[in-house]
Amino acid sequence: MATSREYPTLLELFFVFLRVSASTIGGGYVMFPLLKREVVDGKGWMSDEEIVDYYALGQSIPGIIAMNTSTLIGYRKRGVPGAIAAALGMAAPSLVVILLIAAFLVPYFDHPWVQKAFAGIRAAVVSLIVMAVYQVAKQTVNSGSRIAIAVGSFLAIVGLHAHPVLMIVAGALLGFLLFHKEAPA
Amino acid sequence: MNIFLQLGISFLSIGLFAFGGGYAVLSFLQHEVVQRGWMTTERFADLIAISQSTPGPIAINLATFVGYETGGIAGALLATLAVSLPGMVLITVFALFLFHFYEKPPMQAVFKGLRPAVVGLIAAAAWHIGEVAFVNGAAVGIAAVCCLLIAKWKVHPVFLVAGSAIAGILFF
Repeated sequence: MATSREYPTLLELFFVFLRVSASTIGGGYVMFPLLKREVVDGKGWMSDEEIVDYYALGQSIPGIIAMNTSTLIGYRKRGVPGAIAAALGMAAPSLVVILLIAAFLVPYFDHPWVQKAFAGIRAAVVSLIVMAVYQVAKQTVNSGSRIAIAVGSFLAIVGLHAHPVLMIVAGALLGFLLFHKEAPA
Repeated sequence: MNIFLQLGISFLSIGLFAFGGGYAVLSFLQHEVVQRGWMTTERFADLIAISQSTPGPIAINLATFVGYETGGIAGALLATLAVSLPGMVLITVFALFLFHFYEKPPMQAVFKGLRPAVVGLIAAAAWHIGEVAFVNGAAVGIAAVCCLLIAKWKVHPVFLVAGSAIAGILFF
């Protein structure tokens, strides 16, 4: 975990994460290659292995992967001020673009063409989520007991309207009970 | 209850419990938005589409959007801060123990059970949106074509959103 370069300035941290965020459309999984290009290949702030581990940690903590990972990198480089600078850079493009859309485009939402366009888009959104979840499932739902947990969590929410938090807690407990004797893979 | 208090509680709890990134946040948020009567599932699906086709993390875009629709600019800032804060604090604390703690077998076992549960709850979010999205055969056709385009050519979401908008105007 040795840091391979001197401390970047807070402004530099802010703008690196702002660039990554502004050029990512589609969230956490799309962001990884861009983040690696900036932080590892461009700035030389860390190694390939480090960025993969940081990304894994960002995914293992609740919340937003992109925010968690940038906070961690910022913290590693410049402590708490660095973490805040990196997180602000990551959030800034979202805030600006979404506020502009929400303020100026929402009045046009009721136009029949816009309504039809959104009806088409909704169908595409289902596919986007299904395919994303399929990608994750291929890597994480790879045994009988894991399939049972995934199906159980799906049915409890769709059929019984269970709260998602309950599924997270139940999954964590079941994981501890079922897998703690397995050798770490 | 005051809308800012509601937004704060809602987004802090989402930030604290949503494991698995943007799509997991989406499933939690869908639950909250409908339960609290902030907007319809149709409207929420529209916000998802916009959040997926604009720059930045999907969950931050969604939080900003839902916050703005319910509480104006202050609501947008509050929701974004609240959804980000728990993860940021946790990962900073976690950084102190970093990989020692993370690689311990009991912790790995917990994550092995947690990840399939997350898969199930994201699939449930897709199900709920499908219930309002699949209003006719054309909608099912658009979804099927999108699945094929992603599976075979990894077509970028922006093109799928643009293409399905045009298909919607033509066929609905």
